[in-house]
This record gives sequence, structure tokens and C-alpha cells, in this order.
Amino acid sequence: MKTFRLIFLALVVGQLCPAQELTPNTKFGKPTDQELNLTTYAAEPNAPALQLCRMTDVAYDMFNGELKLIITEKVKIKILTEEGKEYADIQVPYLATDIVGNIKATTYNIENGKQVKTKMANDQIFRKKVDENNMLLSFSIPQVKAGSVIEYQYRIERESYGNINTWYAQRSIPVLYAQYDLVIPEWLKFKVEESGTHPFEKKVGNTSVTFHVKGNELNLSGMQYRFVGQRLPSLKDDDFVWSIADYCNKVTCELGGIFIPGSVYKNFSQTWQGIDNQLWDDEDFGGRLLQENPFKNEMTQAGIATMSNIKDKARAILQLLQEKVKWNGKYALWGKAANTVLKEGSGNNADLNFILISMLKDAGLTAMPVVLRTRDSGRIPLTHPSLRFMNTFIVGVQDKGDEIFFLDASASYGDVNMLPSLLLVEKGRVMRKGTGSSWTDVQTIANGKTTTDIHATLTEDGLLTGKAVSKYEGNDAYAKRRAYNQAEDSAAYVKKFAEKHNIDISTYQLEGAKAYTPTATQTMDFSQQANATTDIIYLNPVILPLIKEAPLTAEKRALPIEFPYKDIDRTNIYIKLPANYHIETLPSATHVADKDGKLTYSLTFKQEEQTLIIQQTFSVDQLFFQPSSYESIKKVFDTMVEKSQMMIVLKKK
Amino acid sequence: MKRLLLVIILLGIVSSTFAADANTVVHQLQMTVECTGTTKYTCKVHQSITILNEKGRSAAQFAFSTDQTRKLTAFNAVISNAAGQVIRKVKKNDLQYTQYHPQMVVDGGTYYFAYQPVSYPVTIDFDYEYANSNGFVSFPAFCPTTEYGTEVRHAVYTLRVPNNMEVRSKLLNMPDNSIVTTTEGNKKCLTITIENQQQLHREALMPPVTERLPIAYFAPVGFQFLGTEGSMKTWEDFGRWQNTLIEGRDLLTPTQQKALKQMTDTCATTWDKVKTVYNLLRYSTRYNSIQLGIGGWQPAKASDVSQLGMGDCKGLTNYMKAMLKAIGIESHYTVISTSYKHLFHDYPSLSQLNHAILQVPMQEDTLWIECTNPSLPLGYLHEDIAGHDAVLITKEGGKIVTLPEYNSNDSKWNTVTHITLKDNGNAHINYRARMQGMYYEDWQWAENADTTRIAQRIQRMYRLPKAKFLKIKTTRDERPQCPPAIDICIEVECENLATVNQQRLFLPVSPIDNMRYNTLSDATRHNDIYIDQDMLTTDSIYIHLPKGFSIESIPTAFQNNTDITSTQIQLYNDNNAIIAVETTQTHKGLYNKSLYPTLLQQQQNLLRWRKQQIVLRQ
Repeated sequence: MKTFRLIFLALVVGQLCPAQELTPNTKFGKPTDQELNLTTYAAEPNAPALQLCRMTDVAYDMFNGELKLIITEKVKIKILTEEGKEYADIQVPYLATDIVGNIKATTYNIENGKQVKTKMANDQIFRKKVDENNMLLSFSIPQVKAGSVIEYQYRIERESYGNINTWYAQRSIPVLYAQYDLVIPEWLKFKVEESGTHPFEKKVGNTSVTFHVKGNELNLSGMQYRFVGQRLPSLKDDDFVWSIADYCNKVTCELGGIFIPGSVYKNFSQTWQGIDNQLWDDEDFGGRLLQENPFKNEMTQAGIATMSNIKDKARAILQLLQEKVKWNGKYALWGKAANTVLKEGSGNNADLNFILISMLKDAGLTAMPVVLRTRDSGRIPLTHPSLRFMNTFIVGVQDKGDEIFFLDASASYGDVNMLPSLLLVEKGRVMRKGTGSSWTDVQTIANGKTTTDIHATLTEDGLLTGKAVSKYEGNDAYAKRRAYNQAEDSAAYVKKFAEKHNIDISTYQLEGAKAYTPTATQTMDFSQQANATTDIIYLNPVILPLIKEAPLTAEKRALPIEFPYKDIDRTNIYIKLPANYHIETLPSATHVADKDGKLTYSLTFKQEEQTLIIQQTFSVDQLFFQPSSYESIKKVFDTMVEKSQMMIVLKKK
Repeated sequence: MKRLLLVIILLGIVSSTFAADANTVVHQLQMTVECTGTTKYTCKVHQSITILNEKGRSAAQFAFSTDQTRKLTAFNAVISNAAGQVIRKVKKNDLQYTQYHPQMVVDGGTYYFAYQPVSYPVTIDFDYEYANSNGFVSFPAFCPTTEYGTEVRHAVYTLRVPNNMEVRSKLLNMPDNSIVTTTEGNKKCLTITIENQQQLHREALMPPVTERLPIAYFAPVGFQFLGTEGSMKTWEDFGRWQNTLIEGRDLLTPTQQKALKQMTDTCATTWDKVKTVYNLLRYSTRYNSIQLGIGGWQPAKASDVSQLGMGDCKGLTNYMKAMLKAIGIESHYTVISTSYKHLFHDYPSLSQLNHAILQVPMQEDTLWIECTNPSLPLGYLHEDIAGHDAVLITKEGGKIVTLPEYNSNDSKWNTVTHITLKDNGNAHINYRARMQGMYYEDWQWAENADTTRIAQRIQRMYRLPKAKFLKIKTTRDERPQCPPAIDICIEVECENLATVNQQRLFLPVSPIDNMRYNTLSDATRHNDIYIDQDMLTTDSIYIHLPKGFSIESIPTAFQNNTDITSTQIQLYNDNNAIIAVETTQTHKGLYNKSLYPTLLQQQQNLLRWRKQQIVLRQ
């Protein structure tokens, strides 16, 4: 009987569950009761809104003999909270040459038990010019309340038919259903690729495409793709991944070639060599590499020709350039002519790097662009060659032998091989004409090192005074310089540093505070008051701790964790204790690491006569960690915080 | 060699005559406004500015917004280096143009360009002209700089108007006799000259810039503006004009009126009725901003707002007014500034106003309703309107009123925290906070926010180590005539709140501490100290010691009082618990800068005190 009851219960539950579970409804114009009555989305109860359905249709048509790309979007969203109303304010960027039309929006509400439908009027639709090439369509859907179901749609007719945007299936709210239909006529060859952690349901097949040209039907064959993503979680950016787009479910389409009868076949590169050639042939890239050094005289005056060391030469040239032209904070792949850049006095990193290359070449060095995609834009899909994935380049210089070192004009606090971490990518394409281009790992220079020595003396009344010397190398030097130079002034920097570490700083010096040196050295005299009674001193011996707050606080994590560069930080602390005091108990050593031993922290204690010696090491030996490492990484940071607060007790003998 | 010498001499001049810490110097500013009648004027600007260092960089940027009334007709900029050599010329065609606005739909767009100086000093000569052709309410104002760290050497403003045009003016922070009036044929010419205006230093707790910078405003008494006309001699006049823009726009259909009546019939008090209507507004509309033409001053019709379920501050306020009217409750459309607390009583102008709210006269007290933020409780005076002057719009005209503001009796921050410490340094924390009055606003978002967000905020604020949140609850206390309050109740388990060493536990004296840095700079103070609101915070922490532990060392109490603020932290030892009670009271007012070092010291002492520890021993 008991078993029977259980089965009965299971049956009942089994029947109830599907009824409660939200089923995707791909029909527009008629929301289901389930959609209208939904109050929360069980998978993400805090979600302000839920994308019920999105249908993106990308296809081709011909108008007046011109091939056009037709993009149709239909979106249905359930507004779940007051906060979620913002999802009814729609902004769609488009190209100035596009034609946008068929813009419609409707809101469905339940009022007094009845469904009420409100359509958006055309006077609520606005088109604004953002700049020469870009426009913005914006509209606000009417009568939206918590509980509303909204639907909207628009159609874009695009002249530049090779330009199919990447289709992102996930967004900041959860997605119940997203469908992407793509039909490509035989005239066009696209490489279509999907990525993401939630597999799409995918269908690919042949189809027929009909165009109407001058009253005649033109029948072509074509390829048809359908990607469906269901129950995709919301995706939110955070500080521990470079580019959230890397982890978003998406479909990318890259044009490979165009063959339209009657016109010349255009092959769009599908190989990286082809991309290289495209760049060489481009006036704003290859053309810029041929330009003359505009700073010939200045280089002669600076005596660059007399320098024998290649790196010293390169460093001096970078410094000269940065004194003459200012980086405007932007990254780019194409550049303006040197005389225009000089006239304007500033430019993006490409503008400046082209000049840098001309100067380096003029000094007899072998310099070349290293084309890449900045880390915040995502990784380059290597199997998917396209110029579209490249957004800037740095400068590679051949040292003795085959070794290459890197420079970039945006490295305001940098040096040879010392670049902003945004540029430290796994894959950079070293562009060599003739001998052929190749991939290089720019992350080999993604290293930071800090070594700190602290010598301090503790008096009976608990006053700790001493000298701390920190030597910063590589990206640690870059980071230190940036923090120092970006502070309001040096006094403000020192004040904040002292407050952060609860010390008084009597003298402070940062050697190598600007750029163009491989290291920076911080020297300071400090004091700190420990809590002391007549015969006990309570001392926190971890002076200048690396972190004071744990950076990772969430219990779980679905995304990977990425570090900007490999790093090693060593601190040696020597504290001379008052003569008539002894340490009650010397703390035991700590060693903690992530599950693969790539992120480590250790702290050891030793006493030599009246000197307490503490050694602390923190090391990041890998830049990418899977979500499965999260718990162990969090533990390393938690331990660091915990240990930074540790106390020892000194007693009068 | 000769050239080099010249550079050195020029550099020498530049560096010796400018104030050591100025970022930019305006050598010359000439603004010439030529007005031919009530619908047209042109304004010609010449400005020569030297940027001395990176901090003055923003002076190398130019931005000009156009709309239905004003167009940029000419632009030219010449950039020269320290040696006086021209390094770049910028023409009107070189300007970029965008219609993009992040928050709203507006007329026109913005012309802009940004120059990035390579080295300093750099001098830019701007020459531009704009024309107004569709009517105006006021002339361009004269304010040689609004930037900190900018010195002005010589600035002249000239306004030429037809002889018969009556011009009113308002001078701020300059002598009353600054305007020189002359006659040039059939034109009247008003001139102001400013010489050697000292720079303003940006500092924490400084008085509003408008109380320091010289500014001159000019306007015609009678005006024509986007098809409307009126007078703005007094606020009463302004109100009459504004009233013509709102009149007849608060009509609802008989069905809507009937529905509203039915909805509120059973309400016992006027407050309840207003609240019912306000709830309807907040849950059935949302804010969205479309400001086209006179739509910048005229609210959308109530029926349109009702139909769309959205509107801007004017539209939503007018809709609320219409709904109240339907149930027989009178209310007044009110315009206010969210930026300036005080209006010039003797000089009405549109530029002082940027927002609309609703006033409802009640028997006990006047009710002020912000209609654009549905998360605010009815009648809440948020910080951008509390204590501000406003203009009540009536048929008879405008009336200046001042909104009430929360004082230290109304505004309270109280927290009571029980920390139950375990012998391994872990702790169970029960935290209850009440934020009332002006403090309510900082936390009102929490009322409907998901608990993860609240946990994150608490975590960031107090840096609780390895916190595991067990319970998060927020409740709003909303009663008529009472400042609203939000109660937050949190239970959390923390690891290593105290550091363990053998038989000892080391606990920070402020275990849940949100003060990290001294926000006050220790550089020489230039401005007086300005506190704009009374504040009172009380935090009580009960630390329950683990069994068998007693206090080995405990910091002494903290007390530091100045005229501006007083802080008291008392520590009691009570029945195996330590009770820490911290009270801080800040008094609004303007204080002499001589008090600054004491205030700074007080903050430093407090920061230092908080870094001490309580030592417990088994």
C-alpha cells in the first residue's frame, strides 16, 4: 500500500510538473495564458524580465537588381518586476546605409481578468544619427507594467550584404527560446560557426531561393541554417573575465566569397595568409608601413644612431615618439597618415604605432606589426579567419637572433616588453612581408614580479619603525606606475597608501615612476603602532599585506576566471624584537594552492636570535582557470586575507 | 639658437605669471550678443585659453548643442604651442556631429571636437558664433568659467538690444554697478567687464559653485518663444505663462473619471485617496523622456500619458494632477530645480528650473509628489528636491514656495548588531538597520531588490570575511505625515571575523566597519566648509564573547567634538558581552575654513581608533 501511495504521488507530481513548466511559444500576436500569468521564472527567480521568444531571420533579396541582406527580428519579453520595465525601452543600432522599417510593438496586459492589447503608435519611433556611419533606432513600448508581455519587431534592409552581425543568443535576462534562421543563396559563401556552453539545436540543409528581377523569377539554390537555444541562463559581465562575449552562446557568419553572375568573383579570404594580403594591400595599413620617418632630425639629435643595444634604441625611440605625439586612449587597426597625426598632435595606437615602425626601421631595426584582438573584445577564433576579429596591432622588433620583443605607443607607463594587460593576448599575428607571417604568444611577456624587503624594529611600547623597499618588474612595474601617476598627486597617493596599510610614512620615493625602465623601486620609511600593555605586545607581523579584502565572494561561479598576467610577489620581513621580550608561540607555516597548484600562497616564520623573519610568496602561474577551480582559488585568496590579519603575542621575559 | 632663446623667454613668462596651481588661464573672453527683436539674436564668442597642465585638459574640448531655436553658424579654433607656433587649425567642417543622447529624445544634436594636447602649455583661440531664430526667454549668460582651477584675465560681455527693449538682469558674485549702459544709435548697449578672476579650488564639503563664481544673467522682460509669448518680470508672470502651457491638458475621459471615483470611493481619508491614485500612477506608468520643441516646457496631455503608460516629469505630474482632479482633489503643477536649492526671487528664468512635481494641499500638511520614481513612497522628499525652492503654478500666476526638508529628527540611521563570537574566530551576526528620512533614499532600492544584490552591497560595505547570508529581509515603514523608513534585517555567518592565536582572539574594535579612507584631503584648504544637511547616525554593536573568554585588552572610548560634527564611541562591558555604541551628529551650516584642520584631525583620529583591536583571552 505504501508503495502504491508513493507511485500515486509520483504520478500526480509527474503530471503536475509539465503543466507548471513554462513551454516556449513561438507564435507572435497571441500570448498564451501561461505567458500572461507568469509571475516569476523558476530557473532565475530574481530575473526582472524573461525573453520568452526571439526569432531572428536573416535572408537575401534583390531590389532593382541589387542584392540586399534582409534582417528580421521578432522579440517577445515577459516583464516580471518594476525594474524589468526598462526592457521595454528598445535601442537598435544600425548602419547609416541601412533601411529600417516594419517597426511594430504591442503590449499585452491582463486587466480585470481580460486580455488588453496596446499597440505602439508610429510617433513613438525615433531614428537618430550617432555619427557619419551609424544610426540608432529607439522606441518605448506603451502600457508596460510588471506582468506585461511585450512584443516588438523590425526589419533591416542592408546594402552591405556581406555584413551579418554575430547573433548572440544570451543576454542579461534569461532566455526561454531563441531561434536564428539563416538562408544564404549560392552566390555567397559564408563560414557559419556556433559557440557557447549551451549546445544549440541545429539544422542545416539545402534550400531554394527565389529572387524577382525585372518581373522574372530567378531560382537559385542555397543553404539553410536554423539554430535554436532554449532555457539559456542570463549572462552578466564581471571583473574576472576579459570578455563576456567569449562565453556567450552565439553564431558568427564570415563572408568567404561572392559569385554573382555577370560580375567578377570576389574571394574573401578564408585563410590567414589571405588576411595578411588584405592588410598589406590596404592603404591605411600596408600603405602606412611605407611612410617615411617624420622624426629623422629629432632621432639624430637624440643620438639614437650611436646606441648599440637594440632594446635601448627601441626604448629611446618609443620615448621620443611619446614626447611628440599623444595617445588618445583608443585602440585601432588602421591608421591615418603620419603628417595628419602630427598635425593633430594625437592619435590612436595604430596611428602612433605606424610612426613608431617608421622610426624603428629608420634606425636600422627590423620592426613589424603584430596584429591582434584586444582581450576585452574576446579571443580570435583561429579556425575562422577574418579581419573583423582583429582590432589593433602592437609593434614587434627583432632582437639579436630570431627573438622578438614588443612595444606599443599606448603603453604610457611601459617599456620594451611592458604593455597594458589588455594587449597581452595568446595570439598575435606577426606580419612579415616575404618571409611569411606567423602567430606568436604575446602572453610570454605577461609577467609581473614584486620583491619587497622590510627591515623593522619593534620597541617595548609597541612602536614598529622600519624601511620597506619594493622592486617592481614587468607588469607589476606598469601597474605601480599607473596607480602612482593616476593619483591626484604624489602626496595623495602616499596618503592613501599609508591609510590602506595603517602606517605612517615619513619618507617615500618611487624610482622609475615614469616609463622607459624595466623596473620601478619604492622605498619608504614607515612606522606603525602596535597594541601594547606593560608586559605584552600584540603584533600583526604581516606588514604591507598583498590584499586586505577577498576579491571573490560568491559561493559558486559558472564562468571561468582570467588573470591579466602571471605574477609572483615575494615579501621578506625582518623584525627586530625588543631585547627582553619573547614570542609566546611562533606561528606555524601556511601553504595553500588551487587544485592544480597554479595559484599559490605561502607564509613562513623563523626566529634568529631577537629577529623574527617572515617570508611570504604569492604566485599566479596560469592566466585561465576553469570554473571547477573556483572553490580552490577562492580558498587561496581567503587564506591570504585571513593570514594578513594574523597576530602574534610578545611577552616580557 | 635665437628661436630657442625665444622659447625659453616665452616659457619663462608663461610660468612666472600664472598662479602656481592653476590648470588653465582664460586670457581673453569676448561675448557679443546682438539682438534685433524678441525672436532673434546672434552671439559671437572669442576665447583665448591657455592650458597649463593635464588637469586642465577638458578646456581643449568643444561641444555645442543645437535645437529648434539655436544653430551654430561659424566655428574656428587655432591651437598654438608654448612658442606661439600654430600647431593645428580646426574649422566648422572638422567638427563631429551626433544626435545621440543617452537618456532621452531631444531636438537637434551636438557638435563636438576634442583636442588632446601633446605637451603643455598649449593655447587655443576659439571663435564661434551661434544664432537664435525661433524666439527666446533669456540671452546667453555671462560666466567666464565654470571650471575649477581656471583663472580669468580679461572677459567682456556686450549685449546690444533695440532701444525700446526692456532688459532685466541678475548679477551673482559681482558688484551691483558692474553693468555699463550706453546708447549706440537706436541700440542700447550693456557691457560687463571682469578682470583677474581668481581660480576656484575643488574640495570636499565646499559651498555650491554658484555662490562663488561671478555670473551675469540677462533676459528681455517680454518674450516670444517657440510660438508662445509672455512676460517674465516676476515669478508670478512666469507662472501665468507656464499655466497657458498646462491649461486644458488635464482632461480624462468620463470612463476614466468614473473608474477613478470607484477606486477611491471607499477610501477613508484624502491621504488614502491620493495614495490609491499614486499607486495607480506608479504601477501603470514609467518614466521616459521625449523633449521636442515646446514639449520641453509643455506637458503631454494627460489622456496621452494614460494611453501610452509613460511620460516625462511634466507628463506624469500633469497626469497625476488630472487623476486627482477627477476625484475632486485639487493639486498644483509645480516646477523646481534638482540642481539648485534656491531660486533667484528677483530674477525668474527657465534655466533655473529642470523638473516638475505635484503639490497637493492637505488639511494637516502639504503633500509633495515626485511622479517619476515609482519606488519612492508617496510624499517622499528626495534629496534633489527636499528644501528646494519651487514655483507653484496657478491660474493667477506663479508662487515661490520652499519644500520642507528632513532634519536630524526625521533623518536617522540606526543599526543594532549582535555578534556572537565563537572560539574559532567565526561569528554569527544579526544586523538590524533602520534608515529613515534622507537615509531612506540610499536604501530604498533594497525594498524590491533581489536578496543577492542586498547581500553584495552589505558585503562591500562591511567587508565581512567569508560571509554566508542566512536571512535578508527588508520592510518599508510608510505612514502618513511621517518620514519613510526602511528596515533591513540580516543574519549572516562569518568565518575569521576574529583572528585566533592560541588562547587569544583578536577582534577589530569596529568589526563591521564601513570607513576605509579619510575622505578629506590634507592639502591646504581654500574653501569654507559647507554641510547641507543635518545628520544623525547611531550604531550599536553587542559582541557576545565565546564561553570561557574574557577581555585581556580593550581600547579606550572615543570622543571627538567640533562645531561641525561630533562622534562618540562608548564601550561597555556587560555580562559576557561588549557593547559599543557609536553616535555621530553633523550639523548643517557654512563654517569658516579655519576649522578645517580640526575636522581633518577628527577624521584621522577616528580612522586610527577604528583600526585598534580587542584582545580576548581564554
